[in-house]
Amino acid sequence: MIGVFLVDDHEVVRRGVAHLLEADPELEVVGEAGTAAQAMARIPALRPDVAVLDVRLPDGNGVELCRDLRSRLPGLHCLMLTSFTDEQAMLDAILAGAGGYVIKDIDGVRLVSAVRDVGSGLSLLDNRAAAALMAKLRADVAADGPLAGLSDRERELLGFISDGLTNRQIAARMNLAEKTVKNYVSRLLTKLGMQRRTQAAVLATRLRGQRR
Amino acid sequence: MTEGEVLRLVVVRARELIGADHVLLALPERDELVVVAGAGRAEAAFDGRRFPVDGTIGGAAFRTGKPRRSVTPGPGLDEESGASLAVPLRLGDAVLGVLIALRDKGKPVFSADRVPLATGFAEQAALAVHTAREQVRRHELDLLNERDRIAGELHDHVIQRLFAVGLSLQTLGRSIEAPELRRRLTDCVEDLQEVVREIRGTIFDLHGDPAGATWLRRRLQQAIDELTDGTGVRAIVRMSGPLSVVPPELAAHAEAVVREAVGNTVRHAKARSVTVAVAVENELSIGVTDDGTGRSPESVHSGLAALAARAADAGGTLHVQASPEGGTSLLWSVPLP
Repeated sequence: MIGVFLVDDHEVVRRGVAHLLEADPELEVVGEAGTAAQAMARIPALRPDVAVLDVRLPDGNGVELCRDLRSRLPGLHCLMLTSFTDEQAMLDAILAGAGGYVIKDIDGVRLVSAVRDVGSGLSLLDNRAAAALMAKLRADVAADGPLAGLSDRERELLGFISDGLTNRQIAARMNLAEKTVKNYVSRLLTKLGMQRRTQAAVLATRLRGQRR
Repeated sequence: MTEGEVLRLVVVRARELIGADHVLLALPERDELVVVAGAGRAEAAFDGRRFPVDGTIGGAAFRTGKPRRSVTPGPGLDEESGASLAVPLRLGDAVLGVLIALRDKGKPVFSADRVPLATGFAEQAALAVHTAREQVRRHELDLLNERDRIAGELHDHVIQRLFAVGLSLQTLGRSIEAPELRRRLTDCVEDLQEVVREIRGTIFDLHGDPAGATWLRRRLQQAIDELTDGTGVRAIVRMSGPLSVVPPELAAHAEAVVREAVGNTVRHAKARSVTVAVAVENELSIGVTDDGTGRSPESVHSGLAALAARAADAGGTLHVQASPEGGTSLLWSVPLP
């Protein structure tokens, strides 16, 4: 039996996912939350095997929530649920230290099998595509274009994150307080997010320039 | 008042007060200057005229940021004009362009007392150009913010609800015994899937596509659309994994495989639907399955041989077999580097 906890700010989504998972005899939904704060409060007591986390939450984001949860509960497996593109979703899942991600495009079969796989300790991110995506990100960062403003420390951090380390483990490696690592990670996420937004803005502006 | 109207007003008034036959405003474009406004008898002929920065009076004023007077304006303008006066469009330390006053050939040169007059007009023009540019920039930012907002709305509300409804329908479908009802429900879910994918595509368009991230995704989708549009064959497309990590040479193979396999289905299989599944994990795999007759003419075999060769070339495999629906099922897969 695999115990599952759902975190999504839409009740309709939690209900839909719960229905689907409950239809599988191997899976049991043990609790749910609509915010990161609720999730942090409830999950440690309920001890689920898998937490299914939406990337966007009203009081934070699923990536940071996942890192916090895994630092406190090293045995917890996380699955990110998102409706972004695969690239973005995979990157978010790697940065979160999650076992995998599922795109919200109604492929129920895939969602159920992902929960089962992650629940039994498999990583869905342990493949060449994920490695290639990380390598590409590192190359983008190393190319030091106008969009890549990562410090050496942040690059080191990115390496630890892609090795799947929790904030606590990274704190031990880097001789820092866990809180400091948390702040570093937040800043890194913001930078990477900003970078992608800037890229989009630059591109959109350039495209419009060509039309004029 | 638009930028064009302001500039037009500046050159018309400048021509009267400076005592010139023509007054032109030119802005830089690469290493040339381009006339954007003009006043005078042959103003239409000057519109859009380009002249080099090097060796022209306008170019000299633009480059040095100082007024210039001369007996000829230089290449690009001196066919119809003689005496000329050029002053830079200055804004702080920057020079945005140049104002050029011209007299017809044979008329006296501009006296030094014309320079401050021309400078005053040039300042007004510089301000107009700057204001217009700021407006464009602000408008672009507003547009980007608005697009972000719409994308956020679509993501946060529309997709979530469609996703939830779809999941519930799927769960419902499993408890239904009647095969016909079950099939119809499955079709509904498939249709919902398509809607969600379209919206995700829209979100991506709104956010602006970070260079090439979905280039292959789009290429494949376009190829499938082209081949199936108007044929009565319904295409169901599923793509999973980060397609952006597929290297260019494999991407070229992928497109060829999709075109060949879907083309075969449309041309020969008498199929109602074709399912294309592209997945990127440890391998790039492409599955194309149809519900057609499963019979194929000789011509198809050479095409399949070419696909097998493409797979072998990249260290992968091609399998073709009968699909459960009686049609053909093709699976092409090659390892990622």
